[in-house]
Formats: sequence, structure tokens, C-alpha cells
Amino acid sequence: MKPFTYHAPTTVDEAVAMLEQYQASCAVVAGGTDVIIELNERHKAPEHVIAIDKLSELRYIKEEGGLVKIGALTSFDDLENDAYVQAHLPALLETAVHVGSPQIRNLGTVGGNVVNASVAGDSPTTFLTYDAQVVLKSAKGERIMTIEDFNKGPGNCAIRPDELLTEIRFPALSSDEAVGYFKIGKRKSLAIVVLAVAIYIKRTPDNKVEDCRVVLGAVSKHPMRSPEIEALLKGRALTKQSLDDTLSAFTDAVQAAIPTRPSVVYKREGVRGAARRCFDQIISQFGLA
Amino acid sequence: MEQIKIQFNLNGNDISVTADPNKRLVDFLREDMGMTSVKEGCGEGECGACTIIYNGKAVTSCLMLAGQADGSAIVTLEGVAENGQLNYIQQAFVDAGAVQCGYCTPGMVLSAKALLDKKPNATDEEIRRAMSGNLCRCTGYSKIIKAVEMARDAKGGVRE
Repeated sequence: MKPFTYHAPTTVDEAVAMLEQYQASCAVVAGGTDVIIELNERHKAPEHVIAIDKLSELRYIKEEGGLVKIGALTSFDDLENDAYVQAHLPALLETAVHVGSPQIRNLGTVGGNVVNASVAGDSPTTFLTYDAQVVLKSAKGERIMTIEDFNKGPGNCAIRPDELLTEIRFPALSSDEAVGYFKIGKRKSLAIVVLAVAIYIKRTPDNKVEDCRVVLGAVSKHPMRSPEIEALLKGRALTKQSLDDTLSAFTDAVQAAIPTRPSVVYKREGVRGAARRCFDQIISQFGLA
Repeated sequence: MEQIKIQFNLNGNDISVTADPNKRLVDFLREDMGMTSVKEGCGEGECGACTIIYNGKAVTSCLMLAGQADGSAIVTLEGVAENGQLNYIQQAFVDAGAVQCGYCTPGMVLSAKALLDKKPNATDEEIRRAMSGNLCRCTGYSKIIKAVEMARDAKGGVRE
């Protein structure tokens, strides 16, 4: 590791003041599970390291004014053990429990996962499905943008060097909304995302798809929505058969997204199984199973 | 380069030292603190050999900076034995024959301790999950999982 000056701010104000001062010459360490490797292998050699892991004010999960708000330093272990997540956000829970390993979940934060913008990241796919926004703080003020605009990938997002991601927020779900998530990895533990599918469905009173979002993870530079599949789903009855009839469109979407990648052969098949699991979860969450 | 001051609790002892900030926690613990039970395997958080207990939770110390120790409580394998005697988890590893080359063992014992400290009655499934971040290339895992189950049972936990 190259020498650097180490800073450990204890408040967000202190942290953004440091970012304002050091800008691009610094690296921010939250959970550290990605950044420390880059520092150690000298892929990054910043003059300043700002360790924000002591900013406990950014560690929360709450519902407020119709929004679910998750502090950027909330770890995946925090998510997994949170009563609100367990009760109301099964797809986020499903995402959290499949991140890395117990040790990684104890360290890794949702904010770091989103900012790191790995193609094979876990939570960005899920947050896009929840129609999330990110809150960015700097010495100049606050910006809020959709996660869709924020994701630039790979390894890129629309954060400025003087900004700190402080919160991820999305609309709280009603009983007429459900989200399913399924990750394909090489094994159960310590596996990056080979392919992920996350689906949001809002139903009509007579159990048809009123609105939906379909997101595919690890088939593009960043998680991407599929307008084609969404159009196909709208208006469909919420039955297993009717939803499963759209599965070939998932294969088409993967084929179109990565036509020349060697992995397309595997992913275009696997995506149907992952999507089917999402549909099963959604039907079950609506109590229609 | 400016050194940083680190005050923390290591294996029950309050410690105050200065250290280079551009060190990973695993290197700080091994080189500065002499805690050589903390092994580096992959250096990428994949193998769990460098697992320590940090504020009550199992973490991979190769993914942390030395400075993050400041204000924390850390347990390494050196702090697991009680009054010079193997503690019940270590004893179970011996009794189950869960150690072959031994390189992964400190991390395994600490992952097990982090679980059983919090959940003395952990289910078999919870044990498998808690141990899933530690790789062993010798044993095939059966005896390691068995050792943790034996440790739980020895402490009066309920077998499923």
C-alpha cells in the first residue's frame, strides 16, 4: 500500500468538509471490502484516505413520509437482521443474505455497494427495482437523483469527488405491490452475481399487472430495465401460467444485451429460471399461491 | 507519512499504540501486535483465514485498515483460551479431529465463537451458514461442522 494520510471523521459534516478539501486525491473507505483490495494491490494510490466507518449517523433503516430510507453505512448484516426489512422487503432481504460471506456482510455497506458500481454487484439491481433514489451530500448542499441516472457502470457512477452518498430511499410498498429477486451465483457463499433478476409488480384490484419494473443484473454495464418485458407483462393476470408465458422474452432480452459474450449461452437459459422464481415469490407475497 | 494513534481492546487488554496508516488490519495485528494466529490466505476476503472478531462480529481483517481498529474491541485466537486451557470450541475441534494442516483453524474457531457467543443454541443450519465464509482445503468440512455442533452441545445447547 502506498503511503497516505488517514482521516477518520466522526460526523457527516466533517467528512464532506474533507471531501471538499481533498477532492480527487482521496479515497473513501466505508466497509472497505472492495476499496482495501484496490489500495493493497496499488490500483488506487490516493494521498488521503477518509474512513467513514465511524459515521454511525448513517446507519439506519426507517420508514418516513411514505419512503423507506436506508443510511449508506447500513451493512448487509444490518439489513438481514432488521425487523422492517424482514417484514416488508423480502426481495431486499433475499439480496442481503446472498451477499459475499458472513464476514463480508458484517463489513460491506449498501452505500459502498452502490457507489462501487460493480457489474456483478448485488444490491444495485434490487434498488433499481424498488425505484430508488440516492441522496448525495457535499459542502455545497444536497443532490437527490434516481439510481437509474446514478448508475453509469462498470465501476462508475454519477457521484462527484466532493460528494458523499448518505442515503438510499424508495417508496414504501403497499399490499398491492410486491418485489421478487433471484440471484444466480457459482455457489451459495462468496459468489458474485453471475446473473440476477428482480421484478416489481403493482396489481389491480382484480389481480392483474397494473404496473411493473423488470431489472436484469450482470448482463450490462449496470443493472438495466427491460421495457420490452415490462410491456409484455402489463395487463396480465397474476397467475403462474400467465406470467410464465413471458419467460421467452427474458431469453430474448439477454440475447440482445450481450450477443457476443461467451456467457450469453448460459445466461440466456438461466434467466428464465431466475425470472420464474421472482414470479413465484411475487404470487406468494400477494397471497395468490 | 504521519503515524496514527490506535487505542483499542485486544483480547481483553486495553492497548494504545502508534502505527503506519497504510497497513491492513491483518498486517497490523501480525507485525505490530504479534498476533500471528491471524493468517493471510487470499488477501481478498474470499477464504476467511484472517477472520477476527471485531466488536462482536466475525470480519476478514485483510479487508480493513489498521486505523479501523481504533476504538474497537478485537479478539484473535490468542484471546480465546481461558486460564491457559483450551476453550470449549477449541477442545471440540481437537475432539472432532477437525484440524489437519491448521492454517484455516484460527479463522474457523473465531467464526464459530462469533456465532456461539451470540447464539449458544444455534441450529445446524445457522452453524453451516456462519461457517460458510471460511475455506478449508484439507478436511472436507464435515469434521469442522461437527466440531462446532459438538461445541454447541457441550455448552448445553439443544440439538435439533
